[in-house]
Amino acid sequence: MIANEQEIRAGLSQYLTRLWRYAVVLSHQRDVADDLVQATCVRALERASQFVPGTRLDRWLFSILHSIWLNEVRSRRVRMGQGFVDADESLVFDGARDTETHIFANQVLRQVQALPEAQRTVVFLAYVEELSYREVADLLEIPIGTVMSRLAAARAKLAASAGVNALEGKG
Amino acid sequence: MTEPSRDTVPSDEILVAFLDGELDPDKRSQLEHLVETDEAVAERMSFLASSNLPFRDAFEPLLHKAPKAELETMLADVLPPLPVKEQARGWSRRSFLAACVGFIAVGIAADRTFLGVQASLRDEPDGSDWRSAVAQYMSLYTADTLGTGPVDVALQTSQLRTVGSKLGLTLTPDQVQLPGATLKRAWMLAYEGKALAQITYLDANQAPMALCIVQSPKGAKAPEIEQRHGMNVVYWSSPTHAFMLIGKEPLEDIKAMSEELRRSITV
Repeated sequence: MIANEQEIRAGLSQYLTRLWRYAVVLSHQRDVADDLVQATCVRALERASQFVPGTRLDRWLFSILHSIWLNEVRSRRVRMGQGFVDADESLVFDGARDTETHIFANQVLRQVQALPEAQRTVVFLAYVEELSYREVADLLEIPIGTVMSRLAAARAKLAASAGVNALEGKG
Repeated sequence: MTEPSRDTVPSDEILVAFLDGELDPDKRSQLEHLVETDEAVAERMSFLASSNLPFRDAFEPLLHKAPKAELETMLADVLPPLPVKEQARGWSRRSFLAACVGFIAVGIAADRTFLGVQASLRDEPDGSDWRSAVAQYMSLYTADTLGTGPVDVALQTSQLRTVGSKLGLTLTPDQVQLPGATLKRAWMLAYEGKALAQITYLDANQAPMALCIVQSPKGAKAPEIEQRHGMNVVYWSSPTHAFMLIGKEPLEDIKAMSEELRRSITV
């Protein structure tokens, strides 16, 4: 059990920034992301004995973070009538590096972040974290068909705005 | 295969799964054939494919924006879990202990525990039960709990600002410095759902000590002393807050330190 806790702790240390990034994608907010990662660390260490050795630790940690977000933070914010806040703009814009590549990267980031939560979550997991459909479904505990329909809807939306951007670029 | 009609245009789900390489080989070759023979399918596929964006690159900078050092410190401060003993009573105290690790910052109702501490407390009518809970938790602290790394004043400043703001106080490192002790970390705990600030120190003998503050509208009270879990406690109240200083230093030293705090923290 102790060895397992050490293993989880080492894994957490390794994946802290990736967990934080996922928390930002979910919450859109830096301070909530900090707290989500902290709660994830606590929960993961508390449940160290439930981790199955030989399986992917990063996936396990992501799923813990997601369930804390869904069941505790997000639901509470909704209950309290705070709803959802605008994305923390400082997390998107990076004025210091306004090369063309970065402008485009920022545009992609903003478009994904503007998607509804259910869609941006699957886009992030499938295309940024590069999980398979099956892995996304397992992590989010939803049917694979739901993963597919969310990705399709997100893709259609992103494709539509890519078209608009292309037209603007030409104009 | 017959010439596909409009009715056989596959769903976006299938087209996207094709783009993502998630179709099995049979379906994949069927679809490839469709794309070659059916303009509507080809057009839809091409439209959806325009959402093949550099997602990885776009999200890469976010990794560098993560407060890595602070997250590392936070992780190092998460106490190792002790075996949990299920008990019929004492859940509210366990909530307190679980909340000690920072859930409160996000307002999560944490009704679980990761520390199996015997909760043998009684509710005490005079408002002393929070001190009892703090003392019990403090009795688990070691020098290692509070970390042995260098003191980071900027971090302390921001921690104090955060905990102060939760309690309607302005707190700075200068205000809470104690003679002979090293200021360590400030964090939010909760007692019975109420915000509880804990500002931790290592005393001259490297033993943990703490200043704890809760909001309390019961009115100002002069300092009193007590002993809990082998530690000395000085506690007092302002019109709006209740304070306790707890540690293993001799009572006279704790009293002198509490005088400093009463002077510097005015509310």
